[in-house]
Amino acid sequence: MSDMDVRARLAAGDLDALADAYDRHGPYVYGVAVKVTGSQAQAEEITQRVFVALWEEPLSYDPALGSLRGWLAGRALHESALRARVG
Amino acid sequence: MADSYLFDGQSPNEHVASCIDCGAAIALLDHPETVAEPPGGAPLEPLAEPPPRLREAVLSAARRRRNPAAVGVATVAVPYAELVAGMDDVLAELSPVQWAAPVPKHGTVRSLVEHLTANDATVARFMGVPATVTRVSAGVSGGNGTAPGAPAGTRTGPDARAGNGTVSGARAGTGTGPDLSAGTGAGQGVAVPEHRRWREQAGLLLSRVAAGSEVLLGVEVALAGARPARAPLRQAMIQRTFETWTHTDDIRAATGRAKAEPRPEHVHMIAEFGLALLPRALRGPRRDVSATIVLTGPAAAPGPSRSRPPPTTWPCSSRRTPPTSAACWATGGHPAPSRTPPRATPCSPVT
Repeated sequence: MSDMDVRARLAAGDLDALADAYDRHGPYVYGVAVKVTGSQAQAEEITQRVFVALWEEPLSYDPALGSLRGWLAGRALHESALRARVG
Repeated sequence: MADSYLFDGQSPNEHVASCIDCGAAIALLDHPETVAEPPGGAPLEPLAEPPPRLREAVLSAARRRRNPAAVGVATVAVPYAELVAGMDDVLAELSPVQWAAPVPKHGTVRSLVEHLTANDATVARFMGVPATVTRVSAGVSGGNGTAPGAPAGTRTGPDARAGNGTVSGARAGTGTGPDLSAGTGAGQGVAVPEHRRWREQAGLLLSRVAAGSEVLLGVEVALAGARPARAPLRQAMIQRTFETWTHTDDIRAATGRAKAEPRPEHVHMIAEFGLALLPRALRGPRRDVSATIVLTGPAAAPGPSRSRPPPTTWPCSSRRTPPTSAACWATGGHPAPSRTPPRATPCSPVT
């Protein structure tokens, strides 16, 4: 399933597409969050927020600007940096 | 974020250890697999393995924030989503030359995309997609001889076939024009406004249909097409799916790409939609005849699909057995690509 396919299927309300996206990218999103925050609990929360955001607003991901994995990892990085800064 | 590093005498390692932004950036740079999948390569190891329970937690949280599409809605939303993604893939690969490639009856690939966007807007407006998205520069073009509900701008008859000859000529390459099959992978993507407008509108249309109820699918809306026609939203979405498929293949043909068919079950759904419209496509007074069309090929459902008989049913005069995908193309006013015309043979009366 291409990134464009995932985006369109998410827009069509197909939860299986989110499960597929999680299976492909979840470990990388979680990995970024663990690396930056150093906390498994925070990394789980961040991973959840990132994928729920994708599900809620799938059209906010623009395939023309990069890969879905990069988009997800970037969001995870941002969330992680905010939490790490707050402490 | 490098200012303090430059002026406070810290070593790079000291700075990275104390700077959140740089630490995060270094984490990404150290693990490039987090931002791009290796094309065709073996999957790389992620940074850390999440606990198995996290998957269900993610999906449960997602369900709480936004309901998945109802089953009946998904039957029309998912096929459209797949074809939208397919067209998005093709458009993202087009080079500037290919955007200007000739397409019979529509001028160029660019104007064909504008045409599709205009036709999609018919349903998008009904679904409340803002006018700033649905407004396109190109008008809805519809040629003569277009069946109601068939994609506007498609045309039956010899003109369309003559137009295909133009495509073949372009693909063959006469040596005087640009090689349209070259230059793929240019990745114009968001840089092409026609592509962006079409994608934004199609995405919003999908989102809004997916968020609606099955009851909404029964509400009558205007179909796109040269002749006014109305049908339930469900049919209108199948029409959008159909037109997205045919125009994606038009673009593939114009740019030397191989054609691709949707899943068989989706082709069957489209064929049922097209065949149901055939009686309304008749011009002039109706004749007291009917026909039986038996769909064949991988997309055929068990048993025959019949065109709706006129009010007075007489013994039928013909029986046609096209592959299901060819039936779709025929009802849309397109000649089926590279296929033997369907045979017409006598059959028993329709009862």
